[in-house]
Amino acid sequence: MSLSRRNFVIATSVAAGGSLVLSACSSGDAGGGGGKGTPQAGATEYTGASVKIGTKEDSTGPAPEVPGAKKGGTIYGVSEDDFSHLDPQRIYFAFNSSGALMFARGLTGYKIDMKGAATLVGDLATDVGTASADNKTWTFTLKDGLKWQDGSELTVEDVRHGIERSWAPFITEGAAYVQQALTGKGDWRKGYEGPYGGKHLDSIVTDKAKKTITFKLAEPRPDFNFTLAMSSYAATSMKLDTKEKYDKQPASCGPYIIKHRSIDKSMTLTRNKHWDPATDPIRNAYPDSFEFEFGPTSLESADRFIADQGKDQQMVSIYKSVPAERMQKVLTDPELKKRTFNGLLTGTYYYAINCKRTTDLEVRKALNTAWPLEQIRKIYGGPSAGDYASTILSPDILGRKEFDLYGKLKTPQGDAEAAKAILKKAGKLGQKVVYAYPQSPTYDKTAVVIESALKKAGFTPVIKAVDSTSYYDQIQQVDNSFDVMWFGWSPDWPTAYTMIQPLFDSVSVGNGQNNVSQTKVDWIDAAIKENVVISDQKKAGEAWAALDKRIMDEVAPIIPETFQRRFYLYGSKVGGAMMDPMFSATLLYKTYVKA
Amino acid sequence: MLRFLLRRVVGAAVILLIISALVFVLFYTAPRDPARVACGKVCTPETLALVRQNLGIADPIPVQYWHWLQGVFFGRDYASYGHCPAPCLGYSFINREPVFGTIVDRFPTTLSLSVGSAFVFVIFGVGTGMLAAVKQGKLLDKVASSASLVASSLQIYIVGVVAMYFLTDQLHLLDRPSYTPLTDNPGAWFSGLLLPWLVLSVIFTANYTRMARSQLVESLSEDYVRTARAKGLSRRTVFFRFAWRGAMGPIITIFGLDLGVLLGGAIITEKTFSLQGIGALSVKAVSTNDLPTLLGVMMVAATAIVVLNIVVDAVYALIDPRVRLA
Amino acid sequence: MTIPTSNATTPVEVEDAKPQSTTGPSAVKGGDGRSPGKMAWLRFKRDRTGVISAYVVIFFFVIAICAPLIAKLYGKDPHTMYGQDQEGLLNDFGFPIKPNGGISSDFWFGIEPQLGRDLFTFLLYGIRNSLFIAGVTTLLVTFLGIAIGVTAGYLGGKTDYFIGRVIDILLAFPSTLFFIAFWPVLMSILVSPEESTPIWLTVTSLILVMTAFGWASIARLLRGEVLALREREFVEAAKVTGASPVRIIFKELLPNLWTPILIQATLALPMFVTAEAGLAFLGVGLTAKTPDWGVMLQRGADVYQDDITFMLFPGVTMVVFVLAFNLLGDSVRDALDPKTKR
Repeated sequence: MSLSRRNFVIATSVAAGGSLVLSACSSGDAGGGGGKGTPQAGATEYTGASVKIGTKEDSTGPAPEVPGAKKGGTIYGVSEDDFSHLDPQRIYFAFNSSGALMFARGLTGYKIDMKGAATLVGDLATDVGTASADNKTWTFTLKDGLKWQDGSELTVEDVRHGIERSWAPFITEGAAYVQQALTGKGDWRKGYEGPYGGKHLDSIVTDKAKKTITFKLAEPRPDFNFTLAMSSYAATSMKLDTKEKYDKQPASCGPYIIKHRSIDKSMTLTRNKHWDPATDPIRNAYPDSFEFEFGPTSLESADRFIADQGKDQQMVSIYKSVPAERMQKVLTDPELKKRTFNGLLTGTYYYAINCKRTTDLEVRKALNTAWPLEQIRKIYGGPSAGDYASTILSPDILGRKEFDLYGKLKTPQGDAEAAKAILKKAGKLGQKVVYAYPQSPTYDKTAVVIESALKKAGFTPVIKAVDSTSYYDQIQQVDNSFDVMWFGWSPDWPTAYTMIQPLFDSVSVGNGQNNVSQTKVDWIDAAIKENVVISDQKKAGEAWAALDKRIMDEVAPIIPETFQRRFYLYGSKVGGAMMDPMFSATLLYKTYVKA
Repeated sequence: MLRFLLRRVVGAAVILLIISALVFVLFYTAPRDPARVACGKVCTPETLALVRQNLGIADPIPVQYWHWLQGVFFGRDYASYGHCPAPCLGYSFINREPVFGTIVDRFPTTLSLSVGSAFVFVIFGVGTGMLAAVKQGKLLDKVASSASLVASSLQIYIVGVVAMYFLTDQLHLLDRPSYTPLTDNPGAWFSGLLLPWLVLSVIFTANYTRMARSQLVESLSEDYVRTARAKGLSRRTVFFRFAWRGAMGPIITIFGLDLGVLLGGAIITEKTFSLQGIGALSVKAVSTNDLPTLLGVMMVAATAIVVLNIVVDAVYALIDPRVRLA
Repeated sequence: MTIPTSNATTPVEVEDAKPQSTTGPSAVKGGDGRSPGKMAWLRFKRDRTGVISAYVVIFFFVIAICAPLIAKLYGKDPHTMYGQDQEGLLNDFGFPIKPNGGISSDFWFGIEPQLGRDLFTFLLYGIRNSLFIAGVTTLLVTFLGIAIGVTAGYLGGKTDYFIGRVIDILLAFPSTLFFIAFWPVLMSILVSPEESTPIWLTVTSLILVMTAFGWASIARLLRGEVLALREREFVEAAKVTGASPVRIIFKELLPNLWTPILIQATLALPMFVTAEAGLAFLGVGLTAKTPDWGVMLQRGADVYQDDITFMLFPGVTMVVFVLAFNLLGDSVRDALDPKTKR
């Protein structure tokens, strides 16, 4: 919840009470071998930062062929948990989105090349849309030949329906960016109750004959076409909509239809004969069918990948990475390592400092200086678990620049002396710091090293384990009594707006909201307003990067921790397996069965 | 007998009712909000209220409990699911399925685990105990007795882990524990559960060996057994017709209790071997704050214990004629 | 599973029916002048297994009590993260570099993966804490069990019925599941959000919840014993002579109950040691910060693939302790209750 759809692992620490984080990060993976050598992580290229905005040609189907791929066969997918939602409007988390790619399509989407670089293209739309000069009116034109799984035509009204459904009372889980952009209000639900009463929004204009849909936004949004790529804004057929029940078996306009679904156990996808590859620049769809199995833990599935027997040779992990317990085995066996791909998650793990309680900037700087990143990462599993963070923005974000204001890259173990000196100068030696974290075996351990480091630096740490299921509830209360809180955030699309605005805008301070640091700084608010309307994405990126640095320097509202890395295994007969740079999962639609 | 059963069933129903009310009140008044899970990334108080409404947890607790009870006996309707037929233990807004269905789905794993190991440990344990009793004081008795003492001091979370390390990871003798439905592939079902069965059996067998032995030794020295022997009945007849009967009662008692606990969700066992049965379901329900599932599992576990208690007492009475059912 | 709701020799619902339960108050027979206690002691001394296990148990209690002293002599403490502070102990992944869990002359039992604490002192303090928790729980459970069981058995009638039903509910309650579900709720109620959960509170709560579910089986057993005793001639005689209930309970009933009580208590202690460890294994109760047997086993189960040593030390010591205590329990039973003597 507090984390975006692109980063499931952080996200589920709310939904699943940290148990998934636990399985992903708990226990290291070396030992025995005498500790020589950290396995090489493999490709470390960041992909998000290279997101391009595609042209009309880029937006025209069919998708470029995967070299060596052939049609036919079945790819098996395995995962511990079922998708929590399939109704596109209820999707926000990454792992749901990676599944939704198979059957749901929005106006725009990301085309991923074989190196993992992403291009924003028109998916249902012919291109990435046309904005007015003030970025307040956006117009998209639909492609020809778009159909639903029953053969009925996909119209602009279905696209509008997909957006208007977000207002329906039973849809509470999706993103709210478009709703806010259209109404210009935080409480966008007021004044409209969804399309089921037959009423439509005035701010969306459709022209069925010309196949155009126009959004009249209340606020300028130069990256509105990125927003529309979110699963929450995919089209939903007016005819096939089953409201609450749509979540179990939504209608498809993508390459596969949901043939059979048994929640928490299995799901079968078969070809959608009404899907025309010529309309789709993104999806390849080589296998005739996909069969997903839910239930096996990541450890069990890792062992099945390692054994590589029978049907498992055609198996991919839908989104679960190799657990820490098997990392050493996988990374040190060249045969196994060949069958992996890996990548960094798009988000930043960090510790939010409650600026309302910890009002002294020097104390916040001392916290940053003292924080024991190296010890923490050791508990996560060492270098293969990810890279140290020193910025708010992850390397994925357009325009992000690295800086290291508090020496976190040079002395990741924390500089107790320097921190103590800062505290002493500020007269805050012995400052009480309440550190809150969602209780789980992993974070119980990191709390131990954090407590020790803080003590050494002259703080008086109070360690507060919070019941993981109510963790976000508690830290997102404005009047909470925590000073430092474990947190993490992934952008919803690779521009800095989706990091900085929800996390540091004073509007985002409130119960249940994500400015947990509670920064209420005029110049941050002003900079967000300025940056968001910069049309040139490159210039915007520079402006955001500068803001990133200024915030960390002049406010220091967070302690960045890590950009985490995940490794994924796949069967020996699977071709085209690669990481989805957007949703941190296997890019299912590029996989094929090897002969 | 019939009166006894009737009385016990009514008693059991009352116990279950009290437990359900207790659990319901405790969890639903606890300061953890299940609505938060379905609320989304930006969870304003308004959205939260809406979600509560959708989930049907905006009503006062007694009303919710009443609805729940009604559901158990008559089924109930959910907006997002439709009719949930009796026994409707609730609707999980995490799984988006009626709780009963999920439990039925997971039950075979727990059933295979517990019945399979019970089969091994009862036969093996009672058998060894009998032999030890007959060969009192001989080498076999001593070996069996001391082995069972050692075994009864073992804990599943120690032996299970160590066994997995040596037997599976190092020596590759046994498969890593997993569950395949018996109907899908009996071979895989067997090999996947073999290690847990063995480990559970090692631990539980001890109890039965000791029980069987001491009960038999005792009943062999009872007057009625001696009388039977004196009347000229053969050793074998006396053993199986009389002594055995007298000894079986307590064994059945603990067996019933053990089975009840195993069926009610062997949480630690399932966690140790990462099997996805009722126990794992309940742990997951705790971590996702899935109250309906949690309540459902608790009720199933309590029911298993209560029902097996009744069965045990009834069987006890049938076997041991000295017991009158009060 | 973890919480001893059932007890090996306690038939559960066939209360008054069974003539005599196995551990029953088969008042020590024999009358050659020596007191029953003395005879039991003599019998016990002759039992070599019993004596050896008594020494083992005493050894555990001694090192538990002397843990701080031993740690001082050894020169390390269970809280310093040696592996994190010193280079060359843990590799990049947080595992000991030296084989066998990093055993060396400095670290006798090796070092803890990731956090890098000294395993030897950690285990010492773990045993100390676990035994403390289990010991206090056993005392409380026994006391409560006696009080409630004897009251119910002696008073009979409505009181007995009511207590009987409470026991029924407790024994049918899925207690392990209840603990993992209710523990975080309990903690959030008890602890102010601004303070860390103090260890004494965790320990107290652990003891109390285990006691709350643990007394029922002892109470049920004792109730049965008292029911049987109540009908015996000497109690009748005391009643007829006008003895007060208090006198009857303390002078007539209790002396006859010491045998089952002692046996139950010796059975209960190792059971609570393992129950507490089981809860820690499931993540209830003490956490990584505090030395504890169960905490170590939980960590051990996490890392056993790469560092089995870390599992073996707490695992083996616990098995040895429980075994010794069980053997001791058996010997005590044999000594007090020679009827079932091997």
